[in-house]
Parts: sequence; structure tokens; C-alpha cells
Amino acid sequence: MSSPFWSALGKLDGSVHTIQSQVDCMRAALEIDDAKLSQSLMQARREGALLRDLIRAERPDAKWNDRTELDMLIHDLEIAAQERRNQQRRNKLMDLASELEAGKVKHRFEARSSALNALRLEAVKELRKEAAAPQQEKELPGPDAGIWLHWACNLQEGKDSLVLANLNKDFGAVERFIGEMEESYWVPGERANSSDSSLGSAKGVAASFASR
Amino acid sequence: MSSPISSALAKLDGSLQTVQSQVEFLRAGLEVNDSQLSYSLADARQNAAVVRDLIRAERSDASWDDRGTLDYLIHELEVAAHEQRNEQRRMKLLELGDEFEAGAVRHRSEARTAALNSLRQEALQELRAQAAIPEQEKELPGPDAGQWLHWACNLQEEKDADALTCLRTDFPALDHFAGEMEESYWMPGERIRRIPIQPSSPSRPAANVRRPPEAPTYSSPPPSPGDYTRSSQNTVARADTPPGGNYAAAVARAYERPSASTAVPSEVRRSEATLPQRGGLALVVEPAEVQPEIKTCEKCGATYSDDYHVCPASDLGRRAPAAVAAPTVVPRTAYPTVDKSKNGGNGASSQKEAPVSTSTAAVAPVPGTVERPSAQPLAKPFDKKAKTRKQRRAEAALAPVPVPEIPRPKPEEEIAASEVEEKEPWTQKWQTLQESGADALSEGKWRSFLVAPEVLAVAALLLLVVVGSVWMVRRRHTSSSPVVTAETKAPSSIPTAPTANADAQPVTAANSAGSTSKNDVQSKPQDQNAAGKTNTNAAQPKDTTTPPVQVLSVPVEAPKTTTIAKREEPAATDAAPPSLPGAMASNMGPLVKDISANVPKLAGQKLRVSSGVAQGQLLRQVNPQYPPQARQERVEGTVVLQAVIGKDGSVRNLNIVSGPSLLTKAAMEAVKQWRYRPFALNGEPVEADTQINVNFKLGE
Repeated sequence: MSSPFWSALGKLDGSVHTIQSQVDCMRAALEIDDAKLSQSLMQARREGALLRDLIRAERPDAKWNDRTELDMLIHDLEIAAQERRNQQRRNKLMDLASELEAGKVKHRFEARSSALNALRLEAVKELRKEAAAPQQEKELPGPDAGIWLHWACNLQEGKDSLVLANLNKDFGAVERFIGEMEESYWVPGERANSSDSSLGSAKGVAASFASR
Repeated sequence: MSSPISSALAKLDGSLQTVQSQVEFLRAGLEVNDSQLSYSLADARQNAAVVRDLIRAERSDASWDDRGTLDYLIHELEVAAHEQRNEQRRMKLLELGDEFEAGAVRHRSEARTAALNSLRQEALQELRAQAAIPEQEKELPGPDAGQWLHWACNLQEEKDADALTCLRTDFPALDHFAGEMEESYWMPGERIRRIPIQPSSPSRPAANVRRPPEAPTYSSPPPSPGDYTRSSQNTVARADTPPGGNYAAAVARAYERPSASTAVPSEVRRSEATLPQRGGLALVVEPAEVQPEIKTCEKCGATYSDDYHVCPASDLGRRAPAAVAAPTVVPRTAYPTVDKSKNGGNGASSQKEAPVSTSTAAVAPVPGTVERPSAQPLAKPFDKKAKTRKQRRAEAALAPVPVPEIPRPKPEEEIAASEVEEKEPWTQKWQTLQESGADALSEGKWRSFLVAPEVLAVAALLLLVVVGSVWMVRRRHTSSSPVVTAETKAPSSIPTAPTANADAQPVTAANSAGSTSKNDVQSKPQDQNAAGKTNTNAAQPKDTTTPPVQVLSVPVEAPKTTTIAKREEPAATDAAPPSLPGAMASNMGPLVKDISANVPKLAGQKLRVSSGVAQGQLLRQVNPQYPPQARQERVEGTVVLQAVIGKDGSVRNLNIVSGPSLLTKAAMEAVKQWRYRPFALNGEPVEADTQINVNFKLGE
């Protein structure tokens, strides 16, 4: 998903490019289209205003003097946005991991329960491993951790094939776990750490998991 | 100094710089000043229009797509303008140099004059040296060449300090000369006008071409894409080409008559105008009469070129003859009367008849009659030239037969002779003479019989018959193929006459009194040579049997004479004369041999041919190369060369007659390579002397 900043900037560059071509014609002492120039100027002004609003929305105190500073600013904003997105992904993974770790699976058969719990633990392990990765590009589909298992146990092969495929590609252990699980088997517990913690908490969760 | 286009372009760039900064703000997503941007845009549009207009003014068809092309185009225009400025500076220097060269300094002191002329030469050399510099950046202060010296001689130290400083710095020799000169010392001349070199530009109009005023224009073909035209025409302008002003005035002076008469026939005036060679000669000898064939009637002032002139005045306008010997008055019908009684009276001439003068100068003219020009006094130097055919015929017709001088009889005897003459016509006189017999012969009375007019008429008639028969016999001999054989087989036969001009006269002279026959025969070839030379052009188109050789109709030895007569046979229009009797034919044999022996050989002589004739014989013509220095200095003109065409048709002995010094060498080098058809005289090649003109003209 492209950044809104770059989109607005791209539109602004298009308008300015039209204006610049007219100015180059004038520099070559050629005749120009005045109407086209005026229209391009108006459009460029609108798009510039939009870009300024986007920037100010992200950073109200943002200031720049020229295009270079604008580019740097937008770059910073983009990095920050990317960090936030990463953090959001990480937090989601951590939350789910905590949720799966706190609860347990109960089946009438001990062997089945043991197997399902083993899958549960693998899924938790995978989630925490992915959460600990520096570049968090894998997005965990589905809702928040509290209702995630309910959502996952109701996925249909035909209707949610794309989700299941992504889940299978990025989170294989989680996908195997929810494939064997039934919602009735799940016994939720109390999670030890909240998902709003920083990245450092993720490591702490990972460390507590390893100790188990 | 920047060009206006560069200035306009700089203004455009300045206004666009403001626009560009606003655009950069827009690109940076910053807020811009709308009013300032609009103002800048309007200013830029206006400046762009100015640049376009300036470029189109220099080059109307100029087109460009971007700034790079525009910059290149402007660069080209500025280079052309720079070159033009350089050329203008150079031309100014050259024109001033020409002005100095054409004029002269005159001072009452010769030493001062020499010193000033020396300074003038130094200044001239300095100007030419400066003009030769490719990038001419030194600007000569002052006006054009025509007023420059006047301006320079009026410079003041305080008022014109800048100009003087510039002059002293850049043109020290010129400054020195101007400082020493006074305006009154200067005598301007006529300088050659130079043509400035125009820079290549498709929209620039061609410069006006100005011809040098002193060089007459020739009716030569239009100039080729090269740089010159060459012409071997006559060196003088023809009537259909308007000459320069000076030349026209000279020609007008040559033909100016003290008493201009409106009665001068227009044909005569036109004929005067179409005789440029005479007009050219008049430039040299202005008061001389250069038209010997055009005479002037002193009474009415009319000029006439024909043999007859009808003078409206009572007295015929003829020049008073120079010192002419007193005419010998000879009675017209003088006939020695045979007075038997007096027995010894010589044929006394009658005095009752009006005396006939052998010189027409003393005859009282009859008003309104046609006057035949007789032998005019040759007081002018140019009258002594070959007479025309008409004149010779007229003179022959009027020339009286020389008669022996008859002693003036005593009055009584004359009266008696006249009385007897009235009574006795010539037949009776003959009878009387016969009757008188030996007595009369011994007494010499036969003389009076011979001078009788009837006898003279009969003698003249017989002579004409003889001449005609001789001429016809000779024609028959030349018409037959074995020409030589005919000559050898019939040595006594009369050879054919060489040409048709005045044939009767020499032979008539040969057949007249025997003592003068040989002399007349000897003079005959010379006359016929002169006639032959005038017939050169006439004989040329008829000569088709031997194309490489140009034959002149000159009678020489018998075989060659017959050959020439054979060629000219188609032109003969006279009727065949009656054949001669055998006795007379045999008598003409020795005479022919005398003629053959006395005709000089002309093969070794050098012909003088006009340039027009020579042009017709030109086989190969090499174009001269235009000298670079002359091309740079825009020197044009005609080089006149005197050349000898050798027997093999090559050009020899080239000499320069006139022309610009820068062009003579190129002209000579080219003309040396020309080849002509050899000129021949009596079948043998001879050298020909002619004049060649090479015209150098620069294209635009």
C-alpha cells in the first residue's frame, strides 16, 4: 500500500511538470498555451495544499523550504509510518501468542489433547519468532487476539481460501493448529503480558516462552 | 557590444528566473504568491515575443524547437553580424586606401610634394595592411572615404581628442599623413568602387553591383557562375551598349562639328555613332578627322558618307582644296586641224570651246547639281588610306586618258583650226590624212588625228572589249579541273583575273600606252592585296573546301591565282565577256608572265586581324583563374593583351596593353593556352597579330 504522501507528491509533480514544460517553451522564446498554463497552475496549487495537510497531520510542526527538505520530511514520515505498521503487526502477533499460551486445549481423549496442545505450543513459538524479527513484513490476518481463535476455527476452505493460503505461507504452525482445533476444545486463560507493550516486551515474552 | 538579440534573450531569462522560482515552490508543496507569479509570466511572455521578432527580422524563415537550437541560431546570427561589421571596417579602410591611391598631393614646392606623397604611400600601405587582417577590430574613425580627408584636416586637439587618440593609436602612419596635410593640397582622383562581401543569409537581399566608371561596358555574354567573363571582342564599346559617361563624352567630342546643322541626315549621324573605333581614335587625336570616309560639307555643315552630297546651299560645301597645282586648261574638243595651206600647223586646239580643266577644283559649280567628289587634297593625315571600290571606279571613269601635250597654237592658227574643225568631221580628217599620205605622216600631222574624240572613244571601246575577253578567258581557265595543265598547255592564254574588284582598271592600264604597262601591272597586285585584305571576311564563308586554313583572296602566281578565282566563282555576277581573238590572246601571254614575276610573295608576312576575326578562329579557350587577392579586394576589370598567333595556331608574344595589375598574370597564363585555327595566306600558314580582351567580373 503506497504512502499517501507519495501519492500526493506524485500528483503535484505531474502538475508542476506541465508548468515546467510551458516555462521551457517560454525560455526558448516559443509561443505557449496560456489556458493550459493557468489550469496547470491551479491544479498544482491544490495538490500542494493537500500534501501540506497530510504532512501537517502526521507532524504538525513540520517545516520545509524546498523540495529536498520536503522529500526528506516525507521520507521520515514514511519511515515512521512504516515503523508503526510494523509495531502494530508485531503487537498483534505477540498478543495472539500470549492468548494461545495462556489458554489450553481440552479433549475427552488425553492423547488428542496432548497432540493439540503440542500444536498450540508450536504455533505460539512461531508467533513469537515472527514477532521478534526486525523487519516485520508478515501481516497476521484476522481480528484481535481475543476473538482470533473463534474466527480462525470458522474459516471455510472455499470462501477463505486466500486467507488460509496466506496463513499457510506465513504462519504454517498456526495454520496446522487451527486446522485441528475446534472452538469447543479451547479453554481460554489469562494472558500474562498485554499487546500494547513495546518491542522490548516481545522479547520478554519470547524469553518466558523459552523458559517453559 | 552585445547584439540586441542577446540582450532580449537575457531579459527573457531574467523574467523566467522569477517564474522558475515560483514553480520550484510549487514543486516543493509550498505556498506561492499568485500575483507575483502571474506578473512574471506576463513579463516572460513579452520578452519571448521580442526575441522572436528580432530573430525573424534577421532571418524570416528561422525556426527552432528548443533552447539549444535557439542558442545555436542566435550564435549564427551574431557571427554573421560580426563578420559584416568586420567587412564594413575593412571596406572603409580599403576605400580610403583607394581614395589615397587615386588622388595626388600637389604643393608649390616639389620637395614638400614628394614628402607628402611619401607619407601618403605609407598611410596607404598601413590601411591596406590593416584591411588584410582577418579579424578586423580596429575601427577607422571618421566619415566615408570621400569626406575623410576633409574631416581629418579639420580635427582639433581639444574637441576631437577621442578621434585623434584612436587614430594615433591604431593608424599612426595615417595620423602622420593627416597631420601634415592641408585640404588644399589634395587633388582627388577617380577611385575604383569596391563591392562589399555580403554574409551568407537566405533572407538578406543581394548587394547592388556598381561598375567602375572608367571601364567601358562591353556587350559580352552574361557572367558564368564563376567569377569572370572573357571576351575577345573589340576593345571599344559598340553602339548598342551604353558606354560610361566619360567615354560617351569623348565620342561626342570626336564628332563635334563647329557648325552643327540640323540638315545632317539621321543615317549619317547613326553611321557616325556606329564607328566606335574612330571614336576611340578621337580620344587620342581629338581634333583629327577620324572619319575619312565621312566628309563634311563646309557650306551647310552636313556630314555625308556617300560619294554624293546634295547641298541645300547655293554653293557646294566642300573643303577648299589645299595647294593644288593650277589646272592645265585643255580645250575639250581640241583637235589639231590639218591645214594644208599652212603646212605645219600643229593641231591647234580650239579656243571657242570652253576650256576643260583637268582639275575639278576650278570648275564653277552648278547649283543644285550632284557633285562628284574628285581627288580631294590630302591635307589630313588619315585621308591617305586605301580608297573604296566606288571611289576607284569613279576616278577611273573620270580619269581622263593621258594625252600628249599639244603646243598652244597661235591665235590665227587656232582660229583657222577651229574653222576647219567645224567643217571636217573625223572621217573627213582621216580621208584628208590618207590623201595627204606620207607627207602628212612625215609632218606629224597624224597626231591631231589621234586626239580626235571619236578616235579616243573607239580606242576606249576596244580596250574594254579586250579587258572583258581577258577576264572571261581567265575565268574559263580556273573553272576547268586541270587548272595547272590548262595553264601549261596554253601558256599564251590569258590567266583568270583574281578578284572582281576593279578588274578592268589594271588590265586596262596594262593595255593602254605601252610604256606604262609594266608599272601598272606592278601596282596591280598591291591594290589587289589591299582589296584582298578587305575581302577577308567575305572570302571566309565561301571557303568550304579547305576548312582548317583561312584563305585570303590575293592574286599571286598563276596557279594560285587560278585557284582563288575558282573559289570565288560563285560570287561572280558579271556576264561572260566575248572571247579574245587569237592574236590578242597571244599578246597577253608575256604580259601575264610579267604579272606573275612582279607579284611579291606574301606568305612570309604577318597578318593583322581584328579581335572579332580572331575570335572566330578560336579552337580551344582556357578560362583564367581569378586571383585570390583580387577576389578579396573585389578588383574587377578587363585585361587587354596584344598577341601573335603563330603558324601552328598557338599564342605567342603576349604583351599587356592595359588592365588591372592583379589580373594581368592570370589573363596571360590562360591566354597562353589558347589555340586558334592557323591563318593562311595563299594556302600557306602565316602569323597573325591581334588583340585579346579578358574580362574579369565578380559574381554577386
